[in-house]
Amino acid sequence: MAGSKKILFVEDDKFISDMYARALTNAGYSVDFAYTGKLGLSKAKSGKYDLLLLDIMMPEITGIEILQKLRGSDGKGLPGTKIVILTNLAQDEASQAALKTQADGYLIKADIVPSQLLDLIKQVL
Amino acid sequence: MKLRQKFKRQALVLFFAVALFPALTVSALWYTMTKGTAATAVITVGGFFVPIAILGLMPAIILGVVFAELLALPIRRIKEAIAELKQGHLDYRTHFPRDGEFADMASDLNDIADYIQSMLSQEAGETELIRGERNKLRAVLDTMVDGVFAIDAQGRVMLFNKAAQELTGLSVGDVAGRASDELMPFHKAGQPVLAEWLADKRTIGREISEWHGLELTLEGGKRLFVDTRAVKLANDPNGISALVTFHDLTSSRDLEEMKVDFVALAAHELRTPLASIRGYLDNLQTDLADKLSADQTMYLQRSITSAKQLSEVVNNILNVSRVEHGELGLDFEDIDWQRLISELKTDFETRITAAGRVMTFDIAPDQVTLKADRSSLSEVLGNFVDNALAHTVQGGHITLSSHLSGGELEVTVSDDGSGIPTEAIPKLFTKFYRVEGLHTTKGTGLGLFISRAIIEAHGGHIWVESKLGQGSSFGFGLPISKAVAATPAKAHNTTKAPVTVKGGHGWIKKNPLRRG
Repeated sequence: MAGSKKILFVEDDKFISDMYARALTNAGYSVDFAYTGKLGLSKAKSGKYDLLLLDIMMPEITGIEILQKLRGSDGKGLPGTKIVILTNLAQDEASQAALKTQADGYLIKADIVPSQLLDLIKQVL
Repeated sequence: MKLRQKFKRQALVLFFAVALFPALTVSALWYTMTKGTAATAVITVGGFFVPIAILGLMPAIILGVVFAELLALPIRRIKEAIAELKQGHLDYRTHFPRDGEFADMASDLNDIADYIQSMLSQEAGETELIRGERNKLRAVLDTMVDGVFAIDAQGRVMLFNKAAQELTGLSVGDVAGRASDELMPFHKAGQPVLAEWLADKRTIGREISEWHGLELTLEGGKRLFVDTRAVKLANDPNGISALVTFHDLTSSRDLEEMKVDFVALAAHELRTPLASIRGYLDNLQTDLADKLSADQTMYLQRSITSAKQLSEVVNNILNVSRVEHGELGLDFEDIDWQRLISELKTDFETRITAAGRVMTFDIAPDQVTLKADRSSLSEVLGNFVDNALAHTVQGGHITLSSHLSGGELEVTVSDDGSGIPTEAIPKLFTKFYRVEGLHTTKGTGLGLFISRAIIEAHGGHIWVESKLGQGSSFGFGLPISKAVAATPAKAHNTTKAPVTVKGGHGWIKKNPLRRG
């Protein structure tokens, strides 16, 4: 069951945030938002979230950079939080490498609908 | 006057001189002998003879000299004329007023002089013509848009037109006498194509060879992208061994890239709003699951399906642009074929039975590992299955088989459907070819184009066999890393298997390095 798992959604597009958030909340998750990378980073650092949904393309700081900052150079930072990257692009090699070592997975936004996201989150959490 | 006549005259004169003298002498002698004694005869003769002889001889001598001179003069003139001609004074002409052998000789000499003069002027004219043609050729070479250069038998540059200089940034001084493949290495994917052709002994003679899209990397880093044509010459009097022309594609390639970029950009812009539409429709569906009428449920479902199709079209467009840029973004990893196929199996089976077809699997149990990109391989197989669906009717049979063959993994999807007409087959794997199926689910026909790019990027090859009315068979072959033939598949020990989202391109990968 979803329990009261906490999810942080870091995404600058409000439509998209909202869309996923509703599905997630309805499924019983506790959802929090951050519309900028900086806010997302500071919120995530608190360590109180079980899952981080991180959009890559954001102004000022990309999802990959946030990922690297949170996981640290040894990849062991924030062990209690799963991180899933949301992207719309095929990433370059550097990003792909980062994804492989530091994220728990990634999704392509354009091809996922909320109900699918729910299924997948169940897998991860 | 004719020589013969001259001689006749001469002879006559001499005769008179020669005959007269003895005749006179004899008659004088006779006269004196009949009239007196021998002594008086001798005296008389002497008295008559000497003065008469002298009188006779003198004119004879004078006349002799004169006639000899008359003969010598024309000969001398001819000799002069010949001497003049020999010296090259071709305008010198000799003319004798009266008919005769000398006049003939003179006019022949004149004719010879005329002839030589006309030959010379003809030659001069031809040289002018040649020079004119050469200038024309030079002008053509220099106003051509394409670069042209010629090389000799040692591969050194002999000719280098203006366009070649401008395109390469090399001057004639830079290239003259230097080996052309050092200066201008034409290659494709690292292969020195032109150098190989030049060295190839089989291509001599006038066949023209063409290459599209060669790369030319020059000293100093300049890179050109060109269409090239070359021809070998045999026995060229100027010593040209081969002629090469190249057409700069760089600017048209840039244009192409800009076009493709624009399309890619546009398609990319479509993604986010599309995601919104799909997402909210999905939410609606979840929220309203039991609250809608049958019709309303259908409206909603069709909207969702259409939005999904739109999304796939956009994905295809983006993939084509990636293919054209050579950036498929493939993520190669070691794939266990059996595992991949068993994951896809369920997905395909559901899809196919839902469409009322019969699916069979014929997977050889060999343990095969290959270096591949998981999602794009799945995409290719999905594309094959979609094609099979499009060509079969209810109750049709679709078979997916795989086995090892000649060191490769061969995978085929066959159907017993309508088949593809022979004329259509060469175009199948190109852009924008739309497979005319009975139930065409895909709208753009780009699937096979992308599939081919994917398979080829894996180092494999793709093919189709089909006969109208008898069904089709699409297949690909991939190089493998490791194969263990026909052992039973081991049970896999994993904590969580990667999940594939049905039909979509998104998935969550379980990070192999992280526990739990």
